[in-house]
Amino acid sequence: MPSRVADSGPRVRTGAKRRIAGAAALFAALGDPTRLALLEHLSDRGPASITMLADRFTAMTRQGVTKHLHVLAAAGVIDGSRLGRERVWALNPERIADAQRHLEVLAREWDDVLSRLKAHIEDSV
Amino acid sequence: MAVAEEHRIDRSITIKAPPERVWRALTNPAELSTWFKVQIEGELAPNTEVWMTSTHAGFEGQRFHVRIVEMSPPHRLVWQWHPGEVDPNVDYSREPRTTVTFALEPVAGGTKVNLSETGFDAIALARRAKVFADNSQGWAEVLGWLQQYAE
Repeated sequence: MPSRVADSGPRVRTGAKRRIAGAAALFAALGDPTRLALLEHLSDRGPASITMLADRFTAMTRQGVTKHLHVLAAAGVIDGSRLGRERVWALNPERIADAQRHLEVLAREWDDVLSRLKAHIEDSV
Repeated sequence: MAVAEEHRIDRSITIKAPPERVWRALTNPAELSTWFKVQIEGELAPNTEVWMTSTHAGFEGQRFHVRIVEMSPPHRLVWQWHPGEVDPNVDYSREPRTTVTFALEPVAGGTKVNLSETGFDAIALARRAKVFADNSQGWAEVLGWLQQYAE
C-alpha cells in the first residue's frame, strides 16, 4: 500500500489530503440533528435569513442558529449572499451530493462482498 | 433532495442455500477468509476481537480490528470495526467504529442476507473515503461496478 502511494507522486497525495479534510468537515457538519433540520428547511423552503430561521426554530436562540449556519458554511454545505440588510443562506446541492456519493461508493463495495459470499456458497457443491 | 437521511448502508442478496450453510460461510474463519478476502487472526465468538488483514487486490496488508458484538446462529452476526489503513501512531481504541449486521432471513429457495452498516460519522466516512482516494485501482473497480449497475 505505501509503495502504491509513492508511485502516485506528491501531487496526487496533496489532492487526496485536501479531499479527506473536506470530507471530514462535511460529515462533521452533517452529523448534528439540529444542523440537519436547518438544512432540511433550506431544502424544502428555499433560501432564508438568520431572522427567518430563528423565527421558525423557536427552540433555538438567534446565536445558536448563527453558530450552526457558520459550521455549515465552513463545510461548504450552504452559501450566503447579501440581500438587502441581511445575509440570505441557501443550500449548496453539490456538497450534499458528495456525502451521498461517499456512501454510495461504500455501498457498491458491500455489493461486491455479498456477490463473493453468494458465489462462494453456490459454486461449491 | 433528501438531506436529513441517516448515514447508513443497507444491502441484501439471496443465496440458494439454507441459513445454516450461509451462517457457516459467515463465521467459519477458513470460509470467511476465502470470500471476504482477509486473513483472520483468532476465532469468531461473541464479545471477542479478531484481527483481519486484507488480501483483496489493492488493499493487501491493511490490518484492522473487528469486535464481534453478537452471534445468534443462524440468524444474526454483528460486528464493529473501522476498516482502512491502520496507522501505528493512532490509538484506535478511541476511534469511532461502524456496526455491521448480517441478518439471515429464510426465503423460498434459500436465504436472504440483509447487510447493514450504521454509525457512520465524520471520521469514519472520511477515513473510508481515503481508502478509495489513495488507491486508483479501487476507483477503477468502483467505476466497473457503477458501469454494471448502469447497464
